[in-house]
Amino acid sequence: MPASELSYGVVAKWMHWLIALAIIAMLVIGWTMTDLPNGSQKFALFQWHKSIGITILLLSVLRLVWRLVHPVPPLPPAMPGWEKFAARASHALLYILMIGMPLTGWAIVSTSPLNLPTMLYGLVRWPNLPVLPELTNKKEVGHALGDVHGFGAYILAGLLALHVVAALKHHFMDRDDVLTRMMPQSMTGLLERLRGLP
Amino acid sequence: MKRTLLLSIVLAAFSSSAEAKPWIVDYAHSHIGFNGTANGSAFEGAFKSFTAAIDFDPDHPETGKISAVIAINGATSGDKQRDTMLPQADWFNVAAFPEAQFVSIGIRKTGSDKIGIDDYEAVGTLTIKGFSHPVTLPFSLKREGDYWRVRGNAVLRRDDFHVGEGDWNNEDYVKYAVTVTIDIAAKPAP
Repeated sequence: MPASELSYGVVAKWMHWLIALAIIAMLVIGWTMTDLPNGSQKFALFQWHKSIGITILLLSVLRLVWRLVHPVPPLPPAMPGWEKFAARASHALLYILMIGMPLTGWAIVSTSPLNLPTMLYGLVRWPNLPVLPELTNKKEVGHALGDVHGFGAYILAGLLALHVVAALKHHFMDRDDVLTRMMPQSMTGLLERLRGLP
Repeated sequence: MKRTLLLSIVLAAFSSSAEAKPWIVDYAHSHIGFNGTANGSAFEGAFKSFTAAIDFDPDHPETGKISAVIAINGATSGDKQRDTMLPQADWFNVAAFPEAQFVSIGIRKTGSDKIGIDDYEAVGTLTIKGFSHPVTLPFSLKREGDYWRVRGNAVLRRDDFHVGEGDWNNEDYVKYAVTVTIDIAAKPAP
């Protein structure tokens, strides 16, 4: 189904929600695994984190390409200028993190002193980034990258919260279609009933 | 002439009774494996190929000599990630050390004839990754038609052989104890 003037297409919606679910899973797994002591649980969570992270990287690049080919519906004309700017800026930052977080994660894996080969979902070999595995100070580089990645997670969590709150504000306070146009068709009716008649 | 012939017959008889004889190994029905514990669960692995030289007379084990060369590359352990890692420098460093060797120093009988199984013990030197350590390999011998079934296992510590270096040199993920299992079909050469 092609994207209409005022709504997102099916492909864009699927990518949006898949990436959304994956990001939430990544934040939960990421914060859990770093607190665990070395052992089987920590090991397993790290493998999941790597697999899902690379999946997000691929999906996000696809999403960006798709977005270039299928322009997104315009923001509601009633939005004040500063809100439009904030929306565009926060979306740009979201994309930077959707791609930057997996990339820094990949770089961390590439500097790991464990030299553990990455197997996506235990099946597909994923290479390390070049140069990094051969660094003599890769432990230090890995720690620095880890700090950046960990800081990025807080920014991403904050942006995610802002994204959700803004979508709800659009739906319930501004009473526009910003939320429903990214929702599955089957859910728009329910959302409109929740909002009450205009 | 007569004397020489007689002497050689005597010598031949002597050597066949007191000296060990080379065995023929049926590689299609033989295998050398290993098992250990990684991330809290047991795993089982197998080496792809090996060659063994067995000079052994079950009645005179002390004259016997057993040696084996095990190809490390291609070892599988039921996990793609682990199997990709095993040949790397931290683990077996296959590029520099493609083979492991076992050479026996002495063999003795330790028990016999519980339902046709005899128990022996080979003491020898195992070399993995260029590091040699003494190893005691208990094994049993059981007649199976033309062949003898040789079964045994030895518990090693992987850190003795520097298998799992750097951040792997602990028991956080992989236990130090690894059991090597041999299961070989062989028969004395006719």
